[in-house]
Amino acid sequence: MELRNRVKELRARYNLSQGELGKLADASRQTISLIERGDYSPSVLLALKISKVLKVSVEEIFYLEGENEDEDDNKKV
Amino acid sequence: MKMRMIIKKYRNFIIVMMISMIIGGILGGFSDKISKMDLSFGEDMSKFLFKALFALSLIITIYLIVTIIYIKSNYMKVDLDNIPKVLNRKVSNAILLCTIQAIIGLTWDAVVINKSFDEGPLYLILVPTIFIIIAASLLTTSMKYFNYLYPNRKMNLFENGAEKKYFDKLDDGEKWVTYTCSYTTFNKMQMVYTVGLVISMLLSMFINISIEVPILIGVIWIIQNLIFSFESRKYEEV
Repeated sequence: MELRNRVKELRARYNLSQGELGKLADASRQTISLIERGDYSPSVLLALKISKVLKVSVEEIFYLEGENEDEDDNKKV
Repeated sequence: MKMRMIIKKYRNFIIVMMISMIIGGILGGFSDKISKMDLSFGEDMSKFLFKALFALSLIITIYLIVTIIYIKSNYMKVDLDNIPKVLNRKVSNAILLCTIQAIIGLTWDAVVINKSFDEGPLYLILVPTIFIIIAASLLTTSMKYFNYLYPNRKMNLFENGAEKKYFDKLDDGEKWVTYTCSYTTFNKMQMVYTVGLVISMLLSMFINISIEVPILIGVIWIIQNLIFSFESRKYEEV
């Protein structure tokens, strides 16, 4: 199972650029871009920092592929 | 079914082997005619290399100067939180090309010294040396702009362990990029050494290739693998 994320979507909510989010989370613009593209899975520390900046829990930003769909299916049942 | 799976699994290997066999067969069949061909530059090889390296160095240096002028006229205007991709690319290109130019200069120096010791003027060594000095000076300038654009990971080229200190300043994602690029380079270099050895074998049928060429490629190949193995073993210890 692959790690997916909603960083781009949540970043847009706060109208933050990749560089600005990077600065707030103590990371580079390149790292944020890599995370958004799903090329790089961030460390626990960086995931926590991003979640703090975006004011949501880590689980709401990062999830395993198929996990959200499963939850949606369970809600329907 | 099993045979089909084996063929699928080893498809690339089988294709490479078949192509090699065909090329080897053709070369073997025409070996008599090939041995009579002379594709060498003879005495002019050194002159040809000198002119080729001069032209290459000149083109790179002109491109570098134009790039650095562009960076110089733009770097003060940018927002450091959102550095334009074009400028970022230009700075990294300038650093890369300066390094390549310095390597070309050193190779060129080696070519000139090799020929000039026996015959030819030794003063010609000045030309590649001047290009090396220009490359070093342009690299210092490029680094100055890089340090301005990325103040939290300044790099001093002349400091001891500059590369390691720069690496330590990178964040997790950038370190991951470095790891991925390094491993890709390691893997691709294995292919480069194989191709290099094969080309040196094939060329030796046409021109007089020094025996040191395949030996040097083999030695560098072994050294690279040894370094990788010894470095990785450091991390296996419990």
